[in-house]
Amino acid sequence: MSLEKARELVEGIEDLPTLPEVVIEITRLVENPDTTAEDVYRLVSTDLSLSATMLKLVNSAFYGMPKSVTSLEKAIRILGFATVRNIALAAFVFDAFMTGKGKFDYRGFWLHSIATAAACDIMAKRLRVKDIGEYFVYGLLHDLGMVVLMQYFPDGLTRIREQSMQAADVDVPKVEEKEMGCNHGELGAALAERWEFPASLVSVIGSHVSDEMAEGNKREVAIVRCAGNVAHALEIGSSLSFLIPYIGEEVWQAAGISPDQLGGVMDETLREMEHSKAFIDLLYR
Amino acid sequence: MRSVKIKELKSGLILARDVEDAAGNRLLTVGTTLSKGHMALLEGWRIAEVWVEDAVTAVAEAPAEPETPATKDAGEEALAEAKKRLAARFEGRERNAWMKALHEEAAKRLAAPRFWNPGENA
Repeated sequence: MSLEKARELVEGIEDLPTLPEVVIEITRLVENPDTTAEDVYRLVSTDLSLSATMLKLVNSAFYGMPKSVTSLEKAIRILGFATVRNIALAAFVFDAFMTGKGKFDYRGFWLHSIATAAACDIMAKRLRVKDIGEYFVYGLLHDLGMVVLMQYFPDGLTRIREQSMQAADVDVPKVEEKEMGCNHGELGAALAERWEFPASLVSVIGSHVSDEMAEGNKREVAIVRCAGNVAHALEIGSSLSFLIPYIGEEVWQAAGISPDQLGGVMDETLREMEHSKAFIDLLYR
Repeated sequence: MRSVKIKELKSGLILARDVEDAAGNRLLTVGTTLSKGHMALLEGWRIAEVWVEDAVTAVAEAPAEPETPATKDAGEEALAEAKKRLAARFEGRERNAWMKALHEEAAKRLAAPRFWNPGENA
């Protein structure tokens, strides 16, 4: 099974960044029903870099705060524990993989991921889904597997790119599976499992390319795939595939978005990207 | 070898050098015989020109589409240009109402004068 191959590849990576203790502790706290906001605040405040990143993210357009939030404790109460945990995970991944080895367009990659996160967030709010706060990070980290390829398997990725460019209708996940034994979704899921990311995030990362892992997260995966296509169609950032990925009727319906809502989603996505230039500059300070 | 602008390319020409995008990622390798599909890819990736081998007979192409009337305004032209550029990326994909709407609505936004793309404005 190709997920097993993905796990094998990840296990073989020698210099994989380790999840910082503070992030591990935040995850443990969030899972404990007796945790208070004070507990989370005390922990987050011990990490200045994480605290600063969290405040910048809270004050970016993605979280739509009516006024500037300057107190970390207030930010934590407003965001909620699950979102705080997800921001900590995202901040870790950004720091670890903002730039890296090989001649790949990291900035273009992260721009596409941020645009997908924005579109996910907008769709989740429009559709009033449960756990709205999770969708931003689902979108942001959905292509974690691409980062694994760029950072740790640059020759394999170069061969995948070359084959993908030979014709306009190449099925990129199939090229990945032929080259690596797994697709980038499975690779990302294997890494997310290794870092003990929440199960829902692992499932979304693993299933956004194919539907095999989407058992309990069909709607989340559908929204991420649809949001990814919004980012592709608006040409924000870069992508391995020239063709816009085809998404069938059943996936759009599972997401719950109608065709006539797509224009509005695009307008809001562009507005969020415009307002979040400061956040994007943060990535490349 | 000679440099040829993308709009002047013809099928059958052979690349004399690798084609890379602005970030240095290799898109096509030297020796590739260009097809219509390759040309659509190059246009989609906004490559301005490529190096090709000399003395190659190009394959005959289908007649070019008729020109748009000179009186079309800039907005309609921009929209037509955006649709044409996206058409290659949506080829074979518009098999349901959502994918059609994605194409239509994206073309409108890409044609808008204030469309923001950090890759271009950086």
